[in-house]
Amino acid sequence: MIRIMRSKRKNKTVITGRKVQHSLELWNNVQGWLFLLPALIAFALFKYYPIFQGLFVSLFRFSVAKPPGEFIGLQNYIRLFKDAELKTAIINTLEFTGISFICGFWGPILLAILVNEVRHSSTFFRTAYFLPAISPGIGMLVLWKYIWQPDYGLANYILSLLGLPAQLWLNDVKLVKWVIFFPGLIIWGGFNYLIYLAAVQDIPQELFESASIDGAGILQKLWHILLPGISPIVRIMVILQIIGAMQIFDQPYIMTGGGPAGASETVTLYAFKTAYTGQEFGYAMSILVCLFVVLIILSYIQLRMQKED
Amino acid sequence: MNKKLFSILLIMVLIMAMIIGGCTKAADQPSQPGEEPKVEDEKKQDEASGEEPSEEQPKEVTIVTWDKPGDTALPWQVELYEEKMKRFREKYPWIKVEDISIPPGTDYRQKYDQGLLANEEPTVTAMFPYVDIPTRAKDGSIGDLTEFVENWDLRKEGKVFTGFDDAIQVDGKWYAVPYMPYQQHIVINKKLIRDAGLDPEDIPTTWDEFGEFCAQITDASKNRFGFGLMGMEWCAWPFTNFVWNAGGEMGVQNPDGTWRLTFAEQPGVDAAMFWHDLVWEYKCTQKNVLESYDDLFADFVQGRTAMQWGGISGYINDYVNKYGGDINDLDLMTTPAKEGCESYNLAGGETYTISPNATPEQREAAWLYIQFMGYDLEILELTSKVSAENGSPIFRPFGRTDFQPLDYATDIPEAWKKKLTDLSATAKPEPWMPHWNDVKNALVKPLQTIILTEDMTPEKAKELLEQCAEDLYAKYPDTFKKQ
Repeated sequence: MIRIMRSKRKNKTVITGRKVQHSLELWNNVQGWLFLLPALIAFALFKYYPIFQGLFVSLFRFSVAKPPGEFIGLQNYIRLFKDAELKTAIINTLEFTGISFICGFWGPILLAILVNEVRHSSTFFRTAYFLPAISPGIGMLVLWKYIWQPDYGLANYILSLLGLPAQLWLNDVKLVKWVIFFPGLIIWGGFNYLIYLAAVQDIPQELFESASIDGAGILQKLWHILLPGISPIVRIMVILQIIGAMQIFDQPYIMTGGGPAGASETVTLYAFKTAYTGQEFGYAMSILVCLFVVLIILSYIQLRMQKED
Repeated sequence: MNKKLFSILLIMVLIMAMIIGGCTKAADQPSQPGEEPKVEDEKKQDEASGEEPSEEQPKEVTIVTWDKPGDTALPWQVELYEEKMKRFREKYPWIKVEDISIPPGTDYRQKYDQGLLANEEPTVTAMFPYVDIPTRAKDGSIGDLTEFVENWDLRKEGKVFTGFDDAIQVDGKWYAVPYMPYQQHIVINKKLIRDAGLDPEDIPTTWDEFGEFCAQITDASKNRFGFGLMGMEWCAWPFTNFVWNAGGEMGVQNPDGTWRLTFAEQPGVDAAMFWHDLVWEYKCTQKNVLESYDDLFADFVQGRTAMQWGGISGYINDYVNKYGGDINDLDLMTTPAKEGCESYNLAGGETYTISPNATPEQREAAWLYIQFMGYDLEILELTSKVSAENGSPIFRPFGRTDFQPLDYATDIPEAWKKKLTDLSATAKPEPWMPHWNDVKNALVKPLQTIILTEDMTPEKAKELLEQCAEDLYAKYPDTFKKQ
């Protein structure tokens, strides 16, 4: 009898315990969601709502006076395939992506490796390379625009001191993309450098010491320890770099306006001009929706890679 | 479970956001053009006035303008504006003007369209060039002014500038009234020409000679250039003038009202090749031929370029007051022409327009504002006098033809008045066909290619211009037809 009573009491305690645990879990969940709610609302209002709105507008011949204007279905998307200027902008964007990969990708890795080797005044070097990254980007771009000024800019002045011929820089169809990208290397390269530096410093020092004892040289240590050590970060950064380069807008907008002769017009800049100069908001949105889809695919690849790592 | 909960919450938040967005839009939406004003609009105005509307005095009404001088305006410009506003408020106490300043360098078309989408556009503005009116009238981004213009006594008396009439009247309705017409020409810095050992009173007016003359002025080591070429995204604007001066047209109207694009014909090719030669043969332009309008302007007022295509009144203030130059060193002449061709000088100008969303009361108030600021003799006199006294005389006429601001420009070289009068005989209005801005935008790429390619040939230039015309025919078939 006593045993039965004890067993019942035990069962009751277990049930009460479970209930308490369940309500605690629920409360924790609710608390979590409450904390997330402001961010979710902000995202919904300022990110997802504009995305859906953009998708909606891309189906119209948009009218600023009587929005959204005439519904034209997928006509804007069909027009994308016939647009020669868009084709040029896509090629320019791909070229920018390639240049960004050549300059903006390897440069910061090399810099991070070298700075990591600095023994004296390392804080100074770390700060010095990162400082341009936190300076106002637009101001820096305007400054660089005048550095490249072919008549009285600093770049040609330096060339003249070296006895080299003056260049047209931003006015030169062949040079313009490299020249436009250069400030970005300094401005935004600082962020990439910092991430790589953190990855380099994350590699256990003992590995290098053991390799040294085994007689490994600098190149061997670099190839067999350092690069494999930072490869997960490198893979993610490649994708991020490509995503960033495909959305390049500030540099050509401020420095060339897409010129000379459309040589630096990127997809985002072309969409911007189509909307605000050409008044074709619907068509501009269809361009951006397509770019968005490409970026989603790239982001998916990045997330998969992160998951694998 | 968590995933499900997350999805449900996300959907709820999205729906909430859309509802909030939708409700806000609906609540804020003012009356559409052609619709009766909403009761709420009227209530808002009554509330703003804080008093009951009386039968004698018109009901208080608020209009928005973007006319307020910005931070970079000179003190006398701010004082002048405030004085005009004070007088306006005294005369029309029931009109409340919410004046906003837009930062210098703002793309005003873009700003206006953004404002229109957000219901924050100005009720009345003098921003749009007359060439914009046909396109804007058709897309509904400006309001109809017919009822005012057709009953306008000043116009019936023949005191209103009529040069824009064909453009600002669309399908029998009036969409704008003139604000200030202007005329472009070549502005000259005589000091730089004298520094180069040349005579500024004897500048050639034919292309080849002009190119050679500019080449002699140019000395790159001293940062001195003969001609400041406008090769940036506005390049089709001056290019139009050079096409005319080679005996051509940018477009010709077909009998059915559509337009045939003619800029790719021989005069257009000649004009483009003349620009190319200025850069590569005469080497007399600034190297950065794509520099912004502000930089090009700075090149002139800071004494780096000797000549530019522009309007002299815009340069005086900066050249004299900002950089300490002597007004007597400035001069003007007609835009050079190809040998054997007539010289024209492009004329244009801004207009007053009103918002398509304005309520009838706001439209009335906006019309009074236009009449006061643009056509009141006392205000025009005040503006001309104060501007001249502060070293910034107005050469451009106002919309009112019985008033000449030039009469108040006392401290300018005497010879200018005659030159300006002579040049007005060569004025040719900027084309105003629908999609004219699109034509200008489309021309940027081929023109920049032509002026930046050293080994450009007339055949190649023709090909590029023809391709541009073809693209425009394909893009706007209702406006442009080859025929």
